[in-house]
Amino acid sequence: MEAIETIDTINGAVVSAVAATPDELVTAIVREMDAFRVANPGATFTDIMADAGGAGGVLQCHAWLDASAATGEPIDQITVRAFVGPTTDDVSNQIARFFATLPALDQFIAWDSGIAGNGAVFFTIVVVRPEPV
Amino acid sequence: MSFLILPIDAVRHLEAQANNAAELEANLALELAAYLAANPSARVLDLQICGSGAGNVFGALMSVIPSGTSGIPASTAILRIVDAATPQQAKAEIDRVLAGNVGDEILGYDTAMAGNGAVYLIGIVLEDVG
Repeated sequence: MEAIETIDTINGAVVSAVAATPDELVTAIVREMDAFRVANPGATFTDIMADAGGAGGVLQCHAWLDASAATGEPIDQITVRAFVGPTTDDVSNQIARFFATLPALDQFIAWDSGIAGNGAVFFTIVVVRPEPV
Repeated sequence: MSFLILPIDAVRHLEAQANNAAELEANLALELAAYLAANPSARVLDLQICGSGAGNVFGALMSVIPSGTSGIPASTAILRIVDAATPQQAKAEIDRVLAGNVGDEILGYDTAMAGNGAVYLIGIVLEDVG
């Protein structure tokens, strides 16, 4: 049996973003993470959480960062992508196509998903390292 | 961070529902307290939250086991669930939680938003390590 480990919170921080489209959300959260990195050189990314609301027109996410750089991925070396679609299969296919552009499968870092309040828009956010080729 | 490998039949899920984050936190805390009373060695594994309706229907699930080494002792678990009108406000609420628990450790977290897209939630489980 393996134990679940806890994450040190001493230097933990959350940055948040909301937008109407996946591309706008990615731009917004990357801007927030970059601002944190500039203020905390060497800061790292730990995880991401996200959900969708409204009639599919509200996407939000929160990234967990660490100012200490003791764990996690360097913020300037990660790529964030968000996908929305009318079905889970559609989103899954978009993610599969994106993963196919990555140079190695072990570069997946984190993801989360949500569904809009109208039940008709599915949303997934993915974080990988580094840039797709 | 390791992945959890546990006998599935050992895991229980405590459930709570409420119309706002404060009630959700209180209701789930009651569930956890009852479970802990019946299982003094209980441990908390994770937290999930969700939202629906016009910003007034929220749910939470807390995964627990009666005993073991995974997760954190339920007796040391600190549960916080916040809601806000924007994700930045929800972040600010969580920042206050983190600032008030420096030295403690995060076990799990989740975010959710209401069906109307206008209420943002963040839930977090900390281990009080003194």
